[in-house]
Amino acid sequence: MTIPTQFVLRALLSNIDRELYGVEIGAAAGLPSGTVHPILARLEGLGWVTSRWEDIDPSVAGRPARRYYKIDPQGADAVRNALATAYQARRAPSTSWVPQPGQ
Amino acid sequence: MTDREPQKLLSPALVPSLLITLGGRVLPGGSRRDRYRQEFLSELYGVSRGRQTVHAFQILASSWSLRSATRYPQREGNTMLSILRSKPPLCLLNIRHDWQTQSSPDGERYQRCSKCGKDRMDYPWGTDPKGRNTIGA
Repeated sequence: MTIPTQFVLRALLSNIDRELYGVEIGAAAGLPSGTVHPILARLEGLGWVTSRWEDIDPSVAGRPARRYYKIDPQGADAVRNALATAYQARRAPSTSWVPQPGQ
Repeated sequence: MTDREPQKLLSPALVPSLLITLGGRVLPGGSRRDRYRQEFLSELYGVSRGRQTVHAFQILASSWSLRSATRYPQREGNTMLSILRSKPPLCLLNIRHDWQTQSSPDGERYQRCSKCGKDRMDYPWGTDPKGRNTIGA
């Protein structure tokens, strides 16, 4: 899992009850706004993230409806497990280059 | 002016709209292309013209990555563009890192760059504080 993907998932998990749209997710994850959409599309394809159109009247709001994303409740545990696995993989320092006894 | 009149947000300028449309051409046709075009345009509302242009350029630059993500969601998006954007330039070129000493739950100390997440490979093994090789010493 790439680091930007982890940032996006963390941003969504930290606001798990709140839906966010692309620019908000980019700001929360500290990523350029254009970067998050491919990540969100991939996560949506995997079933970890769901999205829906904002329920507004564009003529009243003065803008078109935004697309809002949130962690799928069914996939929240899978997301947490994946993030924990990615964290463990990054945390454990590799010692493969250290000479082993007998080498 | 009445109270019920909608508040108009700054609508997308011509150039950002064209960039969004251009980026959308890369995406698979049909409802998916329409969805993303509508989504990107909606994000341009209410932001400054300069920010709209920057955002639209970023969308355009990511359009091939988005195309790949929509067609093959199982593939990790490790494209060159995403790699370049994922780390600060000095970290990416391995010129300078911001090493922070940390401890694992079992008490082992290690160093990690606070900006890119890279673990320092020569710490604490192999070198002393002055950088001299101590393996076998």
